[in-house]
Amino acid sequence: MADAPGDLRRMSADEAIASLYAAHWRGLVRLAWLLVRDQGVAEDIVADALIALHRRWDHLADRDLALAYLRRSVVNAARSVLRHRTVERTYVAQHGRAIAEATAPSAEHEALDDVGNASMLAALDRLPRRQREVLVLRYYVDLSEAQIAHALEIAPGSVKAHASRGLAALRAQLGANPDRPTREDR
Amino acid sequence: MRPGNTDDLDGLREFEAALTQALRTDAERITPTDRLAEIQAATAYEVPTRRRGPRLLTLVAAAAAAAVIGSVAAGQWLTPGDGGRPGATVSSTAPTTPGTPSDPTRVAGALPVYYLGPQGEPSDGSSELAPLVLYRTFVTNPTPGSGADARVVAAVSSALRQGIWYAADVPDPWRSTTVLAATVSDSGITLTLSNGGSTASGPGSGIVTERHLRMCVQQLVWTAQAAAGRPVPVTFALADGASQLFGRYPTSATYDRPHARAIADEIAPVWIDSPGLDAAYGVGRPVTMTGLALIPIDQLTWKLTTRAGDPVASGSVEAGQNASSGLQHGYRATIPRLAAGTYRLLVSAPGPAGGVVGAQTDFTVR
Repeated sequence: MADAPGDLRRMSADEAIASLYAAHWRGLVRLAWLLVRDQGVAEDIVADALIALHRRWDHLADRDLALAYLRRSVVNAARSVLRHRTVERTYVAQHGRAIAEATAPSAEHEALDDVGNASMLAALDRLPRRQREVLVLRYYVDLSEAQIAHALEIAPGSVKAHASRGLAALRAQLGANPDRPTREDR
Repeated sequence: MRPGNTDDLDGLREFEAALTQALRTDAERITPTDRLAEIQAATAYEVPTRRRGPRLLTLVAAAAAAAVIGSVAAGQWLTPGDGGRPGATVSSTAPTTPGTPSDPTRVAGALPVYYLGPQGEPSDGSSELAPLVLYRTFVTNPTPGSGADARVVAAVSSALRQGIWYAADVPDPWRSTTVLAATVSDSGITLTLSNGGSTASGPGSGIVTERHLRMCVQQLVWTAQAAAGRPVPVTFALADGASQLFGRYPTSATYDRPHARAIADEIAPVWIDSPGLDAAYGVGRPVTMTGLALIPIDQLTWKLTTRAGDPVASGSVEAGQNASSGLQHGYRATIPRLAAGTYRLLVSAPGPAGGVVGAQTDFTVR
């Protein structure tokens, strides 16, 4: 996800939201999807984040950080969804069904969705929430430790610790080989 | 993330690459649907907030809404096609480009448009028209990216073509009026109309009442302010040289929305923001409905039918984004993915004596 195009500082709220939408809607929805596993909910989360940003636009301290604010809103909202709907445990169990119901993946992607990816994702889902968030932001969004710290509102040192523990736990679950899933992973 | 030797480092990099690949592949399983129009609808100018009152105001508004709703009696909820101007539900602006409902790069504008309709059926089956109130919808801006003047002209033009919704045989005082120009400034909006409207009964058999005419003026005021995004007073200029709208509202005066305490007297209990008037969705995609209501959302339900009236789905709504004024409650619901066709959505709440209050819109899945 590249930074927002154009000079957000000079844009009206309407222009900024249209610009951010054009550049980041897909990426942000996919980020939310990785966290909540429901496309409709993911879209709602990002739409709400854009609407909230629009309302705050004239009072935003630093418009250059608009995308960072959006990411923070998305992560917070995803966390809220999981907490309030008590989905955190059940969605792991329903993972496959949720994907089938909430999305329509192409045949191409289904073909590419090999066992290695599935086992990696299943293992990721079993991590504590914070570790999972850090790894998604680090390895899907490609954020720096500082950016992740901003998005999650935690210290950079904590980001490093969560990432390290998360990776170690993943590797332990997968025997350090994502292409060799355990029976449980299947 | 920093192992102690080279083998570990290579292994870690390999593992990180596999994790990145797994996440990207998983994320690309989904194709986000186009929600820009809905977002723009939610961010469009709603109820003016320049005189936002204390929290107590919400209760006052709710009471006012209840009083208004209380004037609605039992009766069938009329559809736009049943009354008003035939074809008014069909977009009068540029239609959504076929085949691109899910294109996230399409940055089309959504124009807010207010239309008039009665709150419900008359109380005892008499011919007396229920109070006319303002419903809001969104249409596609035929000239996206244009300035405020053009937005106002496009929105008001659409408003003038809406006729009276939900009611048969109600004359439309704007039926021979067009908007010629609009000028938007920080201090006001000037609308130039071809004429000041008509008070004749026209094709309908209904009576043109004082409220009817006043609400016709307010319809253009609300629409112009919303399209401009500015809660500034509106003045009118008439190209035919007349100096009064409907022969009674002087063009020398300025017109505005009511202040917050009186808003519930002018707006409908339920608005459907999305699907908008000309909405089109891709086949197989869920349709998210959003809107605002003066009614508590736990009383709202939705019903989807085909245009022929065959039931398709129904359900309740959940809380959505509230209006910035705090007077209206936001609601949302997701309709299961639909086959191609034209559908009619009704969002409603029980009214007194078994009646119904609500709003209705049509949309297409293709």
